[in-house]
Amino acid sequence: MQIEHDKVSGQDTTGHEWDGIKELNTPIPRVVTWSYQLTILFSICYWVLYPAWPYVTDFTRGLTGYSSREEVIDILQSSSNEREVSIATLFSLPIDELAENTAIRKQYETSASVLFADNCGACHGADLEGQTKFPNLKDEAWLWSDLPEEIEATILYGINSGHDEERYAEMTAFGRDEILTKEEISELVAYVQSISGQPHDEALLASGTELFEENCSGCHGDGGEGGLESGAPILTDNFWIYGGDAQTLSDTIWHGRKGVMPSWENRLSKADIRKLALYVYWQSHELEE
Amino acid sequence: MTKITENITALICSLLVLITGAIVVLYTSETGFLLHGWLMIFFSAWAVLTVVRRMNRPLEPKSLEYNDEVIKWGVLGCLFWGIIGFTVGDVLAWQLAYPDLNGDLPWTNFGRIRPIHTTAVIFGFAGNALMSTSFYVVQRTSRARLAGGYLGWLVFGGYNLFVLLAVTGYPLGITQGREYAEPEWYADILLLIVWLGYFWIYMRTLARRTEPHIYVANWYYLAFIVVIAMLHIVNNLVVPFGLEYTKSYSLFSGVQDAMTQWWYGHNAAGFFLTAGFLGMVYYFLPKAANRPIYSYRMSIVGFWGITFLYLWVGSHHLHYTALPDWVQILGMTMSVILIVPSWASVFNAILTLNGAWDKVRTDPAIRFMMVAVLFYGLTTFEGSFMAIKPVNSLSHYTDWTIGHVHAGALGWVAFITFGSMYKMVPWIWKRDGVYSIRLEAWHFWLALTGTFIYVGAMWNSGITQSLMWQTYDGEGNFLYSFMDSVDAMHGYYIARAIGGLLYLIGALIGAYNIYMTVQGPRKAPQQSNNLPVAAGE
Amino acid sequence: MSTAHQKLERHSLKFTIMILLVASLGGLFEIAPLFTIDNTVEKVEGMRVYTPLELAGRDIYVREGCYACHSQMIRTLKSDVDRYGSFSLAAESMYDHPFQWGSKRTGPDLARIGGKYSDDWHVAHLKAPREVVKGSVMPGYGFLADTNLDTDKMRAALVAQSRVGVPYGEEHIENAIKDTAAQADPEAEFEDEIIERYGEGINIRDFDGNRDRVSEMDALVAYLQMLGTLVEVDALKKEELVR
Ligand code: HEC
Ligand code: HEC
Ligand code: HEC
Ligand code: HEM
Ligand code: HEM
Ligand SMILES: [Ca+2]
Ligand SMILES: [Ca+2]
Ligand SMILES: [Cu+2]
Repeated sequence: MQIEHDKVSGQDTTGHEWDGIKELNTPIPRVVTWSYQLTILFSICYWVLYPAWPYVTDFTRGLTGYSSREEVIDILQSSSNEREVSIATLFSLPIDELAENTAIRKQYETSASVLFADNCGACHGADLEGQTKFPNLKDEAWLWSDLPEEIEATILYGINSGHDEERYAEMTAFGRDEILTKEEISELVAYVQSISGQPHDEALLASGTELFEENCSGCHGDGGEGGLESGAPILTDNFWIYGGDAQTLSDTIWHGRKGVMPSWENRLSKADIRKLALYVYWQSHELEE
Repeated sequence: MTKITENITALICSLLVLITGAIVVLYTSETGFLLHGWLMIFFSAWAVLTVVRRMNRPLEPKSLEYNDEVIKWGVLGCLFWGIIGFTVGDVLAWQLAYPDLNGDLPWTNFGRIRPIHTTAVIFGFAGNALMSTSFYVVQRTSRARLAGGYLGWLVFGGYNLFVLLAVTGYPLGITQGREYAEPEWYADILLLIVWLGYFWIYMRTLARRTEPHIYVANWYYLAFIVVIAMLHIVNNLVVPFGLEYTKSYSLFSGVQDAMTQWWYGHNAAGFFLTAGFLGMVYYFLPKAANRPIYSYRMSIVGFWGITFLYLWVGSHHLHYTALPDWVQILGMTMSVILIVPSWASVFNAILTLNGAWDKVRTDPAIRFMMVAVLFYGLTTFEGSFMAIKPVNSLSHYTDWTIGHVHAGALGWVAFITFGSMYKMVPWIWKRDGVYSIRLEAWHFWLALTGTFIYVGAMWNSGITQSLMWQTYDGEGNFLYSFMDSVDAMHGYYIARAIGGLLYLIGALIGAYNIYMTVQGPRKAPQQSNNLPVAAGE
Repeated sequence: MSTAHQKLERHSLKFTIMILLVASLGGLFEIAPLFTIDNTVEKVEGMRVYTPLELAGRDIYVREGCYACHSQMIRTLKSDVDRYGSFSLAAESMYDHPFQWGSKRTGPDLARIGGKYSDDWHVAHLKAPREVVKGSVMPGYGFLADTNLDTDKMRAALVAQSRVGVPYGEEHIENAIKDTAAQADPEAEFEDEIIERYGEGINIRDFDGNRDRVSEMDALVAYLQMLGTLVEVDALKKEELVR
């Protein structure tokens, strides 16, 4: 033990030494003690005010009785109260009138685009132009209808979504279910390509026409012209959900199709769904100023 | 007497690993497990041979030197895993900027290789650095030769086998799926055995010390060893599918599992990435600066403050979650108090440099250490700040956390490691000094620039994310979609990857410099008067 | 203080014990009560154990490290609830060994992803995320569709689950392997049996669009499609939630 005086700091050492390392016996600086006390005091205040300390089967609630869940429930409530006016506007008129109203469009279109990107964009594309298996919402081809209230119903209940009020539309698996043979299907492929104005195998056409009449027009309309709004697409417009090439067409007819559009009733609010329906309508229609 | 028990225990442990390996090889149908079985057999056979050979060898004359041989392997492990960890880290960074780099293969995708990075840097790089420096420090500050003789080798070998099992398992899909505790049950058992060996060596060396008092650096190393053991055991309580399967399910579920995991997870940072490294500071900084520690009393305040408080703050990783409010509040307040003992260590280290500031300019190693302490101060301040609930509501889930992590990891953990290594390597290999001070300075500046770019990019991207996620327009609708925020990250992710690249280049230069130092000429032998008093066995 | 400490620091064993004592308090106070305070895990209706197929999917989710980018924990913050749905309850992860709440949102939260998209979408997205969502930084997982699910493992899995306290009974374990495959088979003959064992709401169908095999993709999509669908949080009263 040899206590030394250190000139640089003006402090004594503790007298210990390890491999040449010594320690000064400098008192703890005031700031350290004070800030310790300050932070502890801060914490004690918190413990008094908020839930903090557990005991065996319960915990201290604190004077405020704070609960983060209660807080967020209240915040959500008050924000929806604040939005009441804006929401009421959305239900002040029938949806088809709202759809033609440019002022309404100005008010809601931009914010609906974010809602669309977060919920619908993954399938239909943030630009609404769709992708393989997921229909374009901007073109003139509609499976169901482009009336705003029908769009709204589609969003609410979905298509083949399992919702009780779903829109149901299934394309039969003609090949797999052994209704049609391979040859018949290739004839149908040629026919569908012909009505959609694509190059095709002329030799197969004749019987294709007949087969289509027998098997397909019930859903797709005479000559594939559609117009039934039953969920079966028009086949003459050369817009495709799955694809118009021979291989895809043949797959479609062999395996059938049952596209699923989810129901949003339990995920989004009524107001948000209405906004989305309007948004889809606006994006796919030119409004007159 | 202890010698014999020690031998037998070591033998039993090695045989245990050997048998486990054999069972695995015989029964498993998983390719990854088969590989691991063979690895275990290979390493434990080596261990068994080592023990048997040493047992039969006649007693060596008492050595009057410190045992530095085993430390050298730790230095090697540290550099090896460091380079691997940094490289994989940078690959991850580029993957987030250019996702096609994932290759869409099982063993190259981001989710599977991310834990290679965290495990290689935390357990491989930091772990080897801590073990090797702790063996160095405990010998000098106790004036005693390392206890256990060959046991040190087994510990290093077993430990690195653990890291190897972990890191090779992830790309094959072997993981527990809990951050920083990903290794599966058999690797966990191996680590536990190794860790007990480590603890044993450490305690026995302390016990034979010739200094009456235990030095501060050893307090920290000891806390690191003891607390990590406790955390490791509790957090890895799992039930495996069976001996032939790698997969297991954790004993706890849901909210209890979350709290246990972050009690562990925070202290992986707190004791693996903090306490042990403070031990490093307390030895290498005063030693290099040749100054006394600024305040013994502050050492005490800092040490016990951290040891007590760190274990309370894990819940700040679970703010606003389904964890009950009372735990969140407790974690938050304890985190706020924690800033004081954390900064007590910062003051203690920086003020120790008083009277040696000229060395900071001339000696890059001291510069590494000084900057490390400053980054430690920054990270802990930031940490306590982020632990405050409203702040956390912004930072949680975002790159801000990643920025915080790497301010600590790059700026603190790796800086103090490199600073200490530049000092310790010439000492243990008995060289005059580092091969090239200029390269050392290059390493320093590259690392510093890399860190600034990395952390700067992540602060910006983190804040951007949280603002984009939470900004509403006047009518209460979101202003941005989630994908908008993903798009906004692209530039920051490129910047981060470049920062990481600079850091990696610096580390490669460092590794080369250390290699050349080791290759260089041996120092002229000189009579040291600081020989261990309690010498060999 | 410093003189007492000078005594302590002369004894390595005492010092170690002191460290252990001081360091164990945090865990004792913060972890142990989570097992004893009753309202920690809410009493709610709807929670059921995972079907073996979903469990297999969950194991794949863990294996692939999806948690590195996705959280499964909607916080009690307005912006979280507005974007992802009602905040997550503790009860919703009561059968999660391990929990997968996550700590980073490089991608969106997945706590309530179930039913948000169709199986087709998930399959297309998991195979090639950037072809479905422009600008995504998610890796592709096409290999899952090409890998047969190891259904044999699911018996051992259910046994391990029951050992950690998940209420799988004899019958679940007996039929684990059969049930795993059957849930992904729309023509399964014992559909009723599965429903009887696991409840009304479960999805029985071919998830990956390939009827010829039960793939890892089937399992992962089955898991994703049930996430967050069990408990109707919105229907709960405030008093049932606040704790
Ligand atoms: C999982 C993918 C998916 C998501 C998400 C999705 N849709 Fe759809 N949607 C579809 C599919 C598939 C169809 C066509 C169904 C069919 O093929 O029969 C469709 C059809 C529609 C239609 C009917 C188009 C017509 O021609 O009649 C509308 C309108 C529509 N979606 C709007 C939306 C809106 C708005 C959202 C977001 C709230 C949304 N969709 C989200 C997959 C999706
Ligand atoms: C039971 C009603 C029904 C019958 C009968 C039917 N379809 Fe369809 N078809 C549908 C529906 C509904 C869809 C849209 C499915 C979807 O989008 O998921 C569809 C889609 C298609 C498509 C895909 C269009 C695209 O955009 O990619 C083709 C091609 C097609 N049908 C051709 C045929 C042919 C050829 C036949 C006769 C052999 C036929 N369909 C008979 C209901 C039917
Ligand atoms: C590198 C980060 C990353 C990894 C790893 C990752 N994802 Fe993603 N994920 C994203 C991003 C970014 C998005 C948002 C863009 C998109 O939809 O692709 C996303 C979106 C998703 C979505 C759609 C969520 C929504 O609400 O739109 C699902 C589902 C999903 N991921 C599942 C998974 C699964 C399952 C895994 C693991 C097998 C996984 N992800 C791994 C980054 C990742
Ligand atoms: C006073 C000291 C510190 C406090 C109070 C603190 C606090 C925090 C907080 C609040 C988070 C964010 C949790 C979240 O929102 O998800 C965090 C994350 C993290 N911190 Fe610290 N921190 C401290 C020091 C350090 C140090 C020195 C390191 C060393 C590198 C470190 C490493 C980490 C890591 C790795 C994470 C990420 C955990 C994860 O989500 O995976 N921390 N810390
Ligand atoms: C070349 C240097 C490095 C680079 C480029 C790098 C890059 C990365 C990247 C890209 C991630 C993933 C972030 C994400 O998921 O968004 C990550 C995570 C992480 N890294 Fe590094 N890293 C580097 C060095 C280090 C070092 C030296 C350490 C520790 C000593 C470290 C510790 C971690 C940890 C703990 C995480 C997980 C963070 C969390 O989950 O919150 N890294 N790193
Ligand atoms: Ca994390
Ligand atoms: Ca299948
Ligand atoms: Cu923490």
